[in-house]
Amino acid sequence: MNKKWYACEMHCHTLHSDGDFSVSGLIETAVARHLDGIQITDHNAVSAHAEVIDPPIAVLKSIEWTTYFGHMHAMDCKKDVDWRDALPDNIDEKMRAVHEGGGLVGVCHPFQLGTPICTGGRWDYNVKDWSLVNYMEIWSEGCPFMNTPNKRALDLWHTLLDKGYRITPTFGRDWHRSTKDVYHSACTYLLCEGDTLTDSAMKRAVNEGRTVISMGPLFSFNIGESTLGDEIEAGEHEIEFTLSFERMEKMKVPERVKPEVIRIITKGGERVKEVSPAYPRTAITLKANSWYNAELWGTIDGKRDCLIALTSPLYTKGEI
Amino acid sequence: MILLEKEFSVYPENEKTNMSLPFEVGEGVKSLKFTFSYSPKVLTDRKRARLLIERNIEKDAGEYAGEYPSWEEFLPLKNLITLSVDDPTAYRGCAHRQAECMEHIISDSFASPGFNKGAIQAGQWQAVLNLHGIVTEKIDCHLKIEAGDFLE
Repeated sequence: MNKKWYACEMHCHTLHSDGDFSVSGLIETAVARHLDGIQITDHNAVSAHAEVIDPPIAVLKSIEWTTYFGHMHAMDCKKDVDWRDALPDNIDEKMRAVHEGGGLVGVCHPFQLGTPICTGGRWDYNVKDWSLVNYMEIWSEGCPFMNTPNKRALDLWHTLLDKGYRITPTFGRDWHRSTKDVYHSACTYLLCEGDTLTDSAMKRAVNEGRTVISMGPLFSFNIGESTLGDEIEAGEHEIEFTLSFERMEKMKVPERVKPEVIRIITKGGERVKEVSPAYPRTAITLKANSWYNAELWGTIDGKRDCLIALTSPLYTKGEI
Repeated sequence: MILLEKEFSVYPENEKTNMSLPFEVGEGVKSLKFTFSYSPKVLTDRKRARLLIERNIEKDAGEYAGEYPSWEEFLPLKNLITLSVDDPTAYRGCAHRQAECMEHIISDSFASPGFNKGAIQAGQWQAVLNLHGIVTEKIDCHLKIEAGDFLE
C-alpha cells in the first residue's frame, strides 16, 4: 500500500485537564491548522475520549501521566495503569504495564524544569531498560528551535541511539490554548499507509519510527525503497531527500523558513555529510550497526543557523 | 448526605506523595459531589520563593542554568494539589488543574471534566489527593464528599 506523510500534533490538552480547549474546539483548531491528526493527552484523565465522536481528522486517544518524577504519554493504552505510585525506581514495571495494555510509551519534555516551577515536568526516572520507551519528545512547546531543554533532549536521544535503542523522535506543542503559540506550522509528520489517516496508523508510524519533526516543511529521505525506520545493509548507497512546503503554503507562512543545508548525522552526533537542499541526491557510505538521520538547517524569521527539521533514523544491519 | 468531611493540613515533606481518603458508598446512590479547597494557593514570601526557584533551576538545568531568565520571571510559585477518585474497582479520573477551590460531580449520566461518568457502585471508594507541589510551609485543606441527586 502507498505511504503518505501526514501532519500531526502529538501533545494536546483540553478542559478535561488544564487546557482551555473543549474537545470539539481543539479538533476545529487542528483542522484550521491543516493538521491531519492529533493525539489527545490530558493530564491523568481519559474523560475527553468519550467526546471524540466521528471526528473529521484522526484522533489518537491517550493520556499524559503527570507524575511527580516525570511526564509520560501512555498512547492508546487499553489498560488502566495507575500513575500515582510511579516512583524513580519502578518506572520500568509501569512502562511494561502500559505495553501489556497495548499502549506505547512516550517520554515528554525530559529537560523541562520540574517541581515546583512545573510540577514533575523534569524526567527524574531511573529507566533501566530504554527499549521500553517508544518515543521521546525531543522538541517541546511552540518555539522549538530556541528552546534550551530541546537541545539537551536531542543530546540524550543521540546517546540512546548510540546505545542501540530505537526511540522515535516527536514534537509536542504541549497545546493547552492557542494564544502562546509562536510557530503554528510546527508539527510531527507521520509516514502512514492509506489515503485517509487513522488513529491506528498514527500509532503504527510512531512504533515503527517513521516520523519527522519540523518547524513547518516536510523533509525526509529515502535510500532506494528504504526510508526512515527501516534497516538496510551497510555499504555504498545513494540517498535522496525530499522537501515540501505544501502545508506551509496552505497556511500562508512559507517565507518564514529558508532551508540552507542538509546534514546527515550518525553515531555520536557526528555530521557525516552536508548537502545543499538544491541538489537533493548524494552518494553515501553507510557503516554497519549504526543509525543515520537527516537534519535540515537554515534561517527562521531572519535568525540564521536554526534547526528547521529532523528525521527519524534509518538503521544499518550489524555485520557485513 | 455527607459521606466524609475532613479538615487537615499538609506540609512540604508530604510533597510528591498521595493521600488516600476512603469512604463508603451505599446502595442506590445516584451521584457523588466532591468539594475540595486548599489554601494558600500562592507563595508570597519572596525570599522563600527565590530559594525554591534557584534550587529548582540548579537541580534541573545544571550547567545550562545561565541560559534561564532571572528567578523573578518564575514568580509566583504555586501550591498544586489535585483530586483523583477511585471507585471500588477502577480509577474514575482526576481534575488536574490549578484551581484551589473545586467542586466535582460523578454520576451515572454525567461527570465533571476529568472524571468518567458511569454507575455509582456501592462499596469502598477512595478520594486520593495528589500532592504535586507544596511551596508554602503548610497548606490547609478541606474535603467534603456528599451522596445525593446532583445536577450537572
